[in-house]
Amino acid sequence: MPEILGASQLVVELGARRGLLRHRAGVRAVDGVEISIAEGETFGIVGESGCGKTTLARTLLGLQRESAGEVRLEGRVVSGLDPRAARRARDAIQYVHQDPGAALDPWWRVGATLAEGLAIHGVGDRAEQQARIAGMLRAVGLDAALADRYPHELSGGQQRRIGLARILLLRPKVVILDEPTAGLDLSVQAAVLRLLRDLRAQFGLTYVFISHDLSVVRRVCDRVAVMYLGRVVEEGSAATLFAEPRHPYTRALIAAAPHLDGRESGPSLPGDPPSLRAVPPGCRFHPRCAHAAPSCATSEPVREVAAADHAVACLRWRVLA
Amino acid sequence: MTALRHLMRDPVAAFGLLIVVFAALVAVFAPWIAPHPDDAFESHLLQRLRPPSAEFPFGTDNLGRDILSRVILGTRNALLVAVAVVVAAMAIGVPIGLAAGWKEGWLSEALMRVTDVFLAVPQLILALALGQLLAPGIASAMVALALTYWPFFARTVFAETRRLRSALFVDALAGIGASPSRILFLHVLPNAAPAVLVRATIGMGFTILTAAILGFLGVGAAPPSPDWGLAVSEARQHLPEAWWFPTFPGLAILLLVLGFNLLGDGLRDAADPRLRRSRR
Repeated sequence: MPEILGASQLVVELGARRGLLRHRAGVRAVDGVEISIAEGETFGIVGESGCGKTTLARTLLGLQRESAGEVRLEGRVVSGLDPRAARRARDAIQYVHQDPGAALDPWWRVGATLAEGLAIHGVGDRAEQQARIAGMLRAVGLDAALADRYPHELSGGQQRRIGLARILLLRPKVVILDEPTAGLDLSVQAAVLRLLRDLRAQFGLTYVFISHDLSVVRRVCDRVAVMYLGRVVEEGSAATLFAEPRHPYTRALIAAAPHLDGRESGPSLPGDPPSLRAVPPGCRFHPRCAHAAPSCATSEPVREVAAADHAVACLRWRVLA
Repeated sequence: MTALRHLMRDPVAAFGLLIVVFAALVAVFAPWIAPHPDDAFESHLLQRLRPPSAEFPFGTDNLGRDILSRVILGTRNALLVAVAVVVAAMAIGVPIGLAAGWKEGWLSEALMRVTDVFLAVPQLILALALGQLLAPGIASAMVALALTYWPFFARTVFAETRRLRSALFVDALAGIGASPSRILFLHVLPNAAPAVLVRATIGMGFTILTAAILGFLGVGAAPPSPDWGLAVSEARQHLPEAWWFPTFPGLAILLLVLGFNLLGDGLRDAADPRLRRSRR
């Protein structure tokens, strides 16, 4: 399948400020990310909180401006534009927020919120808006009468469906899902995942699936990138990555994931990820890595191909394999 | 209508609304309700300072005018001042707050520092100074009050805009390509409305109070117009004998200010859709 969305050497610096007297350096929330997402697949991005997943998503979307690097959408370069032009150029990408309830204006009825997106995108005719909204609500498995409700009157699962309906009305090609299952109980979670699968088939979507829930990622994603401190440390097809994780960080994440069947999960990672203001030299993961060698503190790992459709950025992956 | 029904369920707010509606009705029909409508300008020196009686339920003042009639006639002035001042203050304060809150930068800083300067000067002093500068009278008192009350709206709207600017739904709107003016006027402003509404309602009470103080100090309404603050001021020389003279205009001020404050509190709860009960 051809690439639909990709990025190379993508750098996003946050919080840099140029004052009259002093310059404040920003932090690199995303630092040299390479990704390539093929049309029609579900691409997972996993990592701990604060590793730059959401920043990466917002940058791909165009809401956050990239500091360096390139973003490609359907073969066109869509980076280096001013924010409004960038967003317009990336209309085919849409984003579903982590907290779908808070992403809806509490003062607007759900139907009005849905119609607004259409109005912004040039569908002004009331009758056509209503018809499309009714159709979309059916597609996401909601009753059309729900359009008269206010966001706070809906359940978490319903809010999530509304969030999906809202952006699917805009007919995107790539949908970025930020933690689409966070805060849902297991039965609702399963229903939402099933719905996502059906919608992907129905509308021919490509998903970028951001999550830290490895069990969900394993189930729904075709390919997965593991992020640590703004970098992709391992990338590959979900099957190989979960079967043969190469990077110690990926291994630790998988080992630490809780199991439902009562098996002991492995030890969780020691400590918290370091601050982006004090990125460790050499391999960024070495202070927390169980297999770190002295050389890890001095030289930076580069991305190496470990197998077909499997890349890893670790100095010692061959030794550890 | 849901907001109104919710308001009626809150007995305190309903009481506030009752007072305000009652005052509004009295103001509209004042000349027909007042037993002696001519007492706005006529004096009857023979019956001065009569205590409350069947003929004059609130007694008469130093010029023999029926105090009940003058309290009723004064309602119109009080409400007019309150509404005009608050509307004018909103017209100045809300756009300034929106502009300053939406974007950071020198414009925002400049607007908020000017607001701070106005806030730093005690309102009454500034109103007094402005009232003296312009010719004393009800109009100049209104101008003075509007010019001193807008910073409260600017501050309120500024804080709300800042809060909403980083709200997730604003981000989501930017995500689907909504223009800044659409976000600002269709989403941020309505979401800031409850705070503004509460501010405005309480501001009405506050304005009535300040207008009465200005009247009392001789900067507001001029005799012989029936003004509550002015009445209390004129009554000072006849205390403590003519207790009824300041008491009834004073009670009118108290009641109306109280009504606006209770209503303001109730409105805040009623206007928030998250607190509204589902209709199903």
